[in-house]
Amino acid sequence: MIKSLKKALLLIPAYILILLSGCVIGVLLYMLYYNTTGLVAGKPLQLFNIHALYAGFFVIAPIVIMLSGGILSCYRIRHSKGGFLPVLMFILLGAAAWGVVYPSFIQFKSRFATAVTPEKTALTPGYFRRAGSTVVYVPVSPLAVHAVVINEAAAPDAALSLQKISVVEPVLDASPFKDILIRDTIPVMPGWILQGFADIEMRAEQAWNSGYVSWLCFASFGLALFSSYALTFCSQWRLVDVIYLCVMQSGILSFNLLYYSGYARPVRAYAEQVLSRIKFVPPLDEPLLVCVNVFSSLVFICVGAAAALTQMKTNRRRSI
Amino acid sequence: MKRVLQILFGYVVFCFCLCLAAGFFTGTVPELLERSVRSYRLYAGLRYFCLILPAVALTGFTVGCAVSFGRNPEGSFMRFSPAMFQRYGHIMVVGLVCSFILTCTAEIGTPLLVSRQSQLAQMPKRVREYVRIGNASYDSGNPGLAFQYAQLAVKLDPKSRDALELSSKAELPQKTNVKPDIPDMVPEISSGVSEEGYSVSTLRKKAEEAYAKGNWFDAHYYAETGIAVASAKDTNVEPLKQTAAAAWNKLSQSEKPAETEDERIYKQKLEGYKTLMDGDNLKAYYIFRTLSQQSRALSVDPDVVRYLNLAGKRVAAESFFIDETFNVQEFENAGNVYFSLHRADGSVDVVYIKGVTAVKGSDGMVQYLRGLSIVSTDKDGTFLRSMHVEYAKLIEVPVSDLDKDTVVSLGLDPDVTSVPYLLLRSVDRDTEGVAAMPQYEYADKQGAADEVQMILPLSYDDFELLLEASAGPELMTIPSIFRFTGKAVRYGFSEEVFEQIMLNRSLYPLFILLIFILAAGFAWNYRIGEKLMFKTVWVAVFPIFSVVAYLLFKSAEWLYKLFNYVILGAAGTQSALAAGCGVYVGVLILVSLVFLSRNSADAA
Repeated sequence: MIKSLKKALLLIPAYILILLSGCVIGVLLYMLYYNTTGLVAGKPLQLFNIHALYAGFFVIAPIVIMLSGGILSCYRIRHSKGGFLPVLMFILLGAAAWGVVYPSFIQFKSRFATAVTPEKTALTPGYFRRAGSTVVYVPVSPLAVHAVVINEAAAPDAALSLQKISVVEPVLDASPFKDILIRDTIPVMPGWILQGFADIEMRAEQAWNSGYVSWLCFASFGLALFSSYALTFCSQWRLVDVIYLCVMQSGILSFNLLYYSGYARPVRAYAEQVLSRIKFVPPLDEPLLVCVNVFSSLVFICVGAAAALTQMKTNRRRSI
Repeated sequence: MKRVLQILFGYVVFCFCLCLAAGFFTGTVPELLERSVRSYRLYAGLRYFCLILPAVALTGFTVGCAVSFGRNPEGSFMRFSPAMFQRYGHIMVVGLVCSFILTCTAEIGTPLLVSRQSQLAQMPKRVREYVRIGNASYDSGNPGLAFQYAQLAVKLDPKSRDALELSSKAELPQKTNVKPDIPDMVPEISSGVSEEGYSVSTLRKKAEEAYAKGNWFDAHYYAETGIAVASAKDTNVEPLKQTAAAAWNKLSQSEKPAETEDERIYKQKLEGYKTLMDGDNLKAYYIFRTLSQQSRALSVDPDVVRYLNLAGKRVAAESFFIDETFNVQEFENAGNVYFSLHRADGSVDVVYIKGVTAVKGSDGMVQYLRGLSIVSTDKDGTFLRSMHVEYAKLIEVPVSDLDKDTVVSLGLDPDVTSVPYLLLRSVDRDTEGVAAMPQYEYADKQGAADEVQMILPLSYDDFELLLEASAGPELMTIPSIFRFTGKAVRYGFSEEVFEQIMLNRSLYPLFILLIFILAAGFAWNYRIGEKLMFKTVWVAVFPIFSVVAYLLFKSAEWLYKLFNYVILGAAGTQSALAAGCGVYVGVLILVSLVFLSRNSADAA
């Protein structure tokens, strides 16, 4: 019992550590990525940027909260056993994360978040940069609008010329980086991931501001994420448990990211139309999403509980 | 260790077979020769395998370690136990081998497969091109060349009906129609001795011998050449002058209205010779070329052969023949090459070459540059001049052959040993007046002369590096990137980009090793129970693990590339490689300590 209680209590500092370290590492990575996107060939890389660090916290913290359930589950798989108390503590921590930590963060964000305006760095002259189907070489200064333009698709005698160009063109091509030369060497983080998390975060804020029912509907996402832990009782090999967990967490995350993206708009509209005919559904925000999240949670919990009970019985039989 | 290798090897072989099957049965193939389809699909399968190999190897290694550690967890109750050190030794060996194989796959395997596939895809086009050129050669009365092209086409596609037809129709005539070999005309730049390599005393001897034999052309030529290459204090100069004058008198005495055919030919030879001596090599070439083609007797006439050869050599040093560039476009080895050249006065030349074909000549490599364009701006970015030529011929010329003023005006580094020398004018081999000239445009034409030869102010090695760089730094060899990085800015390329890619590729083995040690630590944490029965159904989870491993590996690679920029930003381009090595070795030590600190206190 004491061992079980100890294991359960240890989950609290472990979870705090997961949240803190996740935020610190995530914010530092965000800052590095932000600084690299601002890097221009021929100019030094800014290693530390307090504004990016501050803004990064508001981007990274909700992602860490969303992923913390999976990381805490991995910790539980590694330090398994201990009876029901650690499981109860896991449930409490999940409830705290989505019932206290996340709403507190939203309130904190609404008071302190400020948008970072990226510094305007001019492109350096003397480099060949791709701009659409052409390559541009600005010989002197980025402000000079005359550039040597190489049009690889043109006839040989018209391929190289001195032209007036729009300075904005190479900059737009490089987005989200400032310099296309740098962008070509780092795979751009897929826009749908960042946009997806941003959409979820926006939904979270809307749900919190719309009242507790809306928040509970949104929190069904958290319920699905945390309840995937139940599947880790299905196998006796911890590595296989981790794989189950990864697959389920990715599935839930992908579904929610996709649901909020533009691709799922027709499905959402259709589902809303169908579900509006059912009496108890209308008060729910995004009823299809809530139903899928809650249903998956129930499946995870039932499968996990059944597996845990079977395992317990087998262990008892073996001990007899 | 044995179990790790069994699982790793077994899983890799399984995935290898799967990839080969995927290569053979999925995906579309471009237009290929019938016999290439199988090879193309094999390469496609191997490419799939190279793509997923890191994830597959990681899966096999992690699962293998998790099983191996789980079955034998003894001796690790305490942190940093001897048993853990022993395990560390084993995983280090496997990690190093995997790192080596994965690096070879990324650096050699994938680029090689891509190039092989592209070669196979090019084959039908090449066969068609060989047959087309062969037919054209046959129609223009050159069955020997047609036969050679037919043979090339048959070698690539033995079943090609067109190639076989061409081969059979060109075979017989080419055996009966053997043309005398025309020596390759390679430009030479004088270096104290004559073009033929004779010293002044030898030239004097030859001039006197030719005079004695009544061969006034040779006597005058050797004497004039001797005077040209001799120093002012040379004692041979005076006798050479006397011989030259005497031979010239003899040549002039023969100048009278041509009455007979021999006299007419002599007059033409004399005109050609005078033109050659006046320095109009191209005109002299056409005179002797016309003479040579007039009759079989004239084509072997010693004077005609000799001075046609000499004029040809001189022409080759200042221009090239248009027919040299026929059919070279199909065999280009670099395309869309561009770079900038900064002059000492602050002006900039931007050079663009549409395509480059390297051809092995008798005196080394010759490069034909298609669509060469140069735009020059002054230090304020204002247009100065532009030049465009359809084809240019580039040869490597030692700096020692250039005079001091030229070297100074080019602003070459002292360590430059050879430079690219461009011939911009191409002429017809037979017809006088048919020439392709470079087209110049000037902001201010005053005093500017259209050049038909040009020396690019960079070393020939750098030019070759620029050709490599045109395909992108990812396809350059690591030694080439290493040599090019410091010079990149000079030619309009980003030093940071080349340095970062060099870091990415040079430190890749260390990065892979790090990932494998981390995976071993993970495998220890999630190892199988000591007495737990292995269930067959778990094998089905391995491919899912591979998918997760692939995504994690790609994320780690992304972070790795990002960190390399940080290393570059912190350490600077000069010492980034050393700093990168230091950082990753530091992380490796840290990760190793994490692994060694594992114990079995909380075993399942």
